[in-house]
Amino acid sequence: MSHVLVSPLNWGLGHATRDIPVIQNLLARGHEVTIAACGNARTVLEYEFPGCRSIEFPDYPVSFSGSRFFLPKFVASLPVFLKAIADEQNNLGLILADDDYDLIISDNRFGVYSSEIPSVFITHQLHYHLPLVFWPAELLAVAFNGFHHGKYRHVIVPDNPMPEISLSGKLSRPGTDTTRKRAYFCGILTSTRKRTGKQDLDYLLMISGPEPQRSHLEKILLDQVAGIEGSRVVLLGSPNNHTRVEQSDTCRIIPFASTSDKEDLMNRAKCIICRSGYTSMMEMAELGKHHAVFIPTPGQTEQEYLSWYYEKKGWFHSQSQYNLNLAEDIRIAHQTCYTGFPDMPKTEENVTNLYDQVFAQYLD
Amino acid sequence: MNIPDDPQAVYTGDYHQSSMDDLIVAGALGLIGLYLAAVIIFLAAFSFAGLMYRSFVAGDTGVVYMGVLGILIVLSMYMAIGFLLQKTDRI
Repeated sequence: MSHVLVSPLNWGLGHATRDIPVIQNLLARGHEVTIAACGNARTVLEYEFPGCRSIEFPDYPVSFSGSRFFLPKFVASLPVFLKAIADEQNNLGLILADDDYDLIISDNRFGVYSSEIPSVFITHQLHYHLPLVFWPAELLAVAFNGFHHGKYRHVIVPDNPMPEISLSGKLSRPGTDTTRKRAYFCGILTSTRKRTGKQDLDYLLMISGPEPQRSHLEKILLDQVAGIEGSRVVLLGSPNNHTRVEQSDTCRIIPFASTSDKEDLMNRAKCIICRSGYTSMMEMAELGKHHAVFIPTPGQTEQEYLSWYYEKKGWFHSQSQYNLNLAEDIRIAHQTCYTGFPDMPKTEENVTNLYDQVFAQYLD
Repeated sequence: MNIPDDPQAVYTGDYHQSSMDDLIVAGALGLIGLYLAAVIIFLAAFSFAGLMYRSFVAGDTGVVYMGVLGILIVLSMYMAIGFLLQKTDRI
């Protein structure tokens, strides 16, 4: 039995939730897993894996902007970010001194690696997308990524190896030889499972992401949701709001749903309206959904790129929240020119291959 | 797309055995370069705008026309390089 340290980033729950099938696979093969995380990411993994040891391990300050201008604020906060990585590396040293580990899995935590213990890095962003006007910064980021990836044995990319069915497009394109040599495209990873049963819900509206943009989208969608016909469920993604449960014959508004309830609703939905975060995209691919409207978080260049990319591929319709006309955008999303994601290997097969081809060589 | 010949091939080569310090140092140097470039561009733009203004007030329209033309050429070249990098999958 080997001992694995798993450390996801706590920027949203996407990193923690995509690690769930990886941890399940490690535990099923008899290995010991220690979770090193903070905030909601740690809470989710503690809930999913009560038998695993969990360590508080702070990561980075979040610098989301309330306006469209996420990028300037993010660039200005980079020195703080760099300091946080240095602190993270120091804290990792304390964790590693306290116990023996055979493998370190870092999900997008830049300071989590060791020169003595095999370390792998999970990311779907080998390449950061910026507006064209900032191309020098994009080149700089490519070079930095290559340098950083050199610290790891492998860079695990939760995307399909075949370019024609790549879910993340240019984001998962290696920019340097260092990255290219280490990249292992394992396919999609999500904790959401496809269930058998009827699709009896016409529309599922999922409002998520960082504040204050989550609240902005909530207002925009709640103002328009009455204007569409059919059964509707709105997930507000607001766990602190326990009182606002509204219900009518055809429309329910739920402040917050458990992972299991959300999975059930996603399986039942014929059409999903949500942000274009990569975790949601992997869920859509796992469930084989064909109709959706994606609304990128303003200023988040990754989501804006993915929305543009899926439109270009003819997979899904996207619309800016500033121009959203829900009834009209739903009509467009059902046009035959949108095919949904193509068929691809699912999570269960992907985690098995990931273990056999990457992790197994480091674990007894 | 510029991905490995076999994207699921497992890398078996070396990895860098260096300490964390060089990542932080590289990041810090990169940031200093980025901010320095921003300051230089800002100062250059400010000086250039001053020159244009003085020339305009002095009625030296030749300098103003040449200045505007120069800006258009520099911006066009900058964007053309960006497009070229994008077309060749470098960014």
